[in-house]
Amino acid sequence: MSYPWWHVPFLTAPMLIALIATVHVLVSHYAVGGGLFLAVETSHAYRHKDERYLAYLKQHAWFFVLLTVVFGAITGVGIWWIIGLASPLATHFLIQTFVFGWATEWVFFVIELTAGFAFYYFWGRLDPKTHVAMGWIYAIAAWISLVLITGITAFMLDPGRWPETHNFWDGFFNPQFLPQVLARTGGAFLLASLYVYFHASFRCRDREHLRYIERRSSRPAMLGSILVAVGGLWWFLMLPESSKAALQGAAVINVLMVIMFTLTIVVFALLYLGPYRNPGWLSPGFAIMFLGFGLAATATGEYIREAVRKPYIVYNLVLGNQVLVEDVPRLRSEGFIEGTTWPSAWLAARHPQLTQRDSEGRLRIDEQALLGLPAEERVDIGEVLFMYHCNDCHAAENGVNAMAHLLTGWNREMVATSVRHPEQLKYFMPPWSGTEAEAELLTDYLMQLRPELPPGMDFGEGPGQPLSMLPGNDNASEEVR
Amino acid sequence: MDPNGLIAPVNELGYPAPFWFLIFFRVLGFTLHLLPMNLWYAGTITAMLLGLSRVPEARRFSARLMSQMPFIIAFGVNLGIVPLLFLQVMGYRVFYSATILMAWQWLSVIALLCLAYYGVYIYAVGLRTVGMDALARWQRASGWLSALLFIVIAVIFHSAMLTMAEPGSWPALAEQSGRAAAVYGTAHALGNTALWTRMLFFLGLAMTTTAAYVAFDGAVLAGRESSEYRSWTRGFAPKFYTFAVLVYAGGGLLYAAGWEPGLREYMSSGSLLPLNLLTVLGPGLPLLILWLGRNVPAAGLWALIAQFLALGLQAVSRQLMQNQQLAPYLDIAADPLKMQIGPLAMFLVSFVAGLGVLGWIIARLVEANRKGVVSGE
Repeated sequence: MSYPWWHVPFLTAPMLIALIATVHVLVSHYAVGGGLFLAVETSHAYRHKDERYLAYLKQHAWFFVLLTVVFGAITGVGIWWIIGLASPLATHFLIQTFVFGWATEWVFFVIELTAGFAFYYFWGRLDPKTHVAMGWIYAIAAWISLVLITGITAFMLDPGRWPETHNFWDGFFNPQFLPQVLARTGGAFLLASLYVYFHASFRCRDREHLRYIERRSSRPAMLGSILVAVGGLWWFLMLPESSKAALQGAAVINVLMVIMFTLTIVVFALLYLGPYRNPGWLSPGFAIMFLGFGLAATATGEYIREAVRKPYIVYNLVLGNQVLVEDVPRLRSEGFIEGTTWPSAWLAARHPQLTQRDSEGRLRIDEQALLGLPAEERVDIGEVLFMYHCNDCHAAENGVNAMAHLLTGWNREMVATSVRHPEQLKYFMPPWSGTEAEAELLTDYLMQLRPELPPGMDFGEGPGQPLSMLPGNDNASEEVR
Repeated sequence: MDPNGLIAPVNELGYPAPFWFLIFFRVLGFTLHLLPMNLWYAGTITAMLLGLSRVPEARRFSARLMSQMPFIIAFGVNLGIVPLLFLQVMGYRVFYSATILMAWQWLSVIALLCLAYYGVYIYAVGLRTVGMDALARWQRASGWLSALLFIVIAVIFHSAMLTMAEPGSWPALAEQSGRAAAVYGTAHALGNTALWTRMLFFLGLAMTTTAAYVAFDGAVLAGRESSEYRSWTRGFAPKFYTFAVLVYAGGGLLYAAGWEPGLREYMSSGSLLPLNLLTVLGPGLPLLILWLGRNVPAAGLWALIAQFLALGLQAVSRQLMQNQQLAPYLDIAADPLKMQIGPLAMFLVSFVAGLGVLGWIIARLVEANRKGVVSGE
């Protein structure tokens, strides 16, 4: 890790990524699907000289511009902002690898923006053919943006042949690329229709016209549902084995999967029974609920997609704690602090007697001398290790996956073993990337975080007494005491 | 802590294109971004102040600029992506650390920008529906709030860029706002005098851009406005530009006075002197055009073109200055070149094709503007 770690108490910095990214995708899918909706429907309305529908579409285009061009675009930049702050190594890795993918996406973003403004603000001033062309330019540019970004985000879940070739195209056209493009395109269709229902239910007072809008939007929504289902299944089949295992093995993901499937089935059922078969159901309340379910299903799906990457940020390349996989052996032999920029500078400033420069000018740390430090200073260094090695996913005392709660009642041996072999404790945790001495210091820090068992609990040897070790494990039970 | 020990090491992933190419796009992108960014930074507050004027043409300009502001912001944000992307490619060894040190401020840009953007929309929609005189109090407040937020955003950006170029300040910032070698992200550069002199200098520059835009609006965009309005823009723009140049010059002098002697020497050294003199004097050309062209309708167009060149010179000089500031800590050209020919070609082809599509769109819009309403509305 070459950068300072941003310590966000309680929440942990990466949770901010999840927060902003989730909010963004709820609008960005609409930015794609809504563009296609407006292009197709405006063309249809012109063809049938349907002035009433055109008037509605213009109203919808204003809502669309306000939501996607402002909120969608700014939160999109927000993701870029937050990943650079909370996950700088992985961000640098992705930017250096895909900079021209991002630059190309920017070109389509400019086109999208210009065509989108032209489409709305020149409504009535462009002839129908040119007006529809603007709609299509927007829609195609927005969809290409989706494709380009999906190539990069899908790379994080499975980089395909990139680790061997370091070739842009091998990384971009990774095994996850097509399934995710399909699922996201479907999601864009589906969410766009839900946004249309939401908007129309409030803005369209004429029930008959509302039914017409419902009917028109139900087909792309049904198509979207099919694409989501096919893309989702394909996504699952193409997942790396570790992600499949995480889907099945992690309790939180299990719960979220149930929620996502339930919500998705509810949305499909409501769509089929409501707008598709009985297009009179739509009311503001129904539309809010419908959109709410759709957004909740999408947000849950996005969270799961992110979570199954663990312990990696980029599969087999960058670990969740900002360590390159290829650096793990070196860090284990030379030391985590020695191999990380800010902690090593911190240690050199606090404990100059423990560090020296080698003939090449590299900072070297006397690992064994670390263990000779007074207890308080060992804990201080242990906290540094915790910040840089663990705080990506774990808060300290309270908050997200707080260590204090996870370690309640543990003895030193259990903590020390977990520190040395986290990937064996839970296979979705990164491996220990430090020396034996550093593992001891981290254990020191974690032990002073660890609370005793909650008082009053009786496991058979009296309230508040942890069970003694099994016969023959006397050394361990001695250490507990 | 030793600031040299805080610089991220060179990454073996390397640069995906030659150094000159990355620098070129970074400077080009920054120049393109400067134009709209200057307009929202100095233009919003100028428009709000002119809205208080009793001169009808001044109020008219205020309404026109605020009505255009949603587009200016949209394109300004969009054009800011390129320089920041290439900054991250080339400046990763200092960029991430500097922004993480002030993470909460840096992240707050997103929320502030969103608020400012919607504030401008509220004001612009009010102008369109009820007109400036009938704006409700909350609509006016939205306009003022946006103007204020754009200035706050500017402070944050200057803080971040200043901190990035001064790794020497990092140990103290980390000590003040950190724990266990990690940082809380609450550091700021508000106590750094250079922040405020730099702000003043860039505010002056942004005001010159706004003044040039006043003339451009009258000359090019205000075809349907009264001749009094167009004439007012030709009269107001040179005066405002002159005032802006005074702020720019005053801010610039104070800013340069705070530079390290080595930096001052470098910026005035033989090979760079002509370029930096041109940069300093850059706003002179638009100023001259505006004063001499007070009776020439097309002067506004030329003034904005000259302003664009002045901004380009600023972007080049600023890049050279930043490289020099960072030189004691790192060599930004040291990364190995790992050329990505295919992706680069994809970008260049889409860039050129994109320009073609944009040209087609703009031509259709100009044509539609000339013809007036076709259908609907």
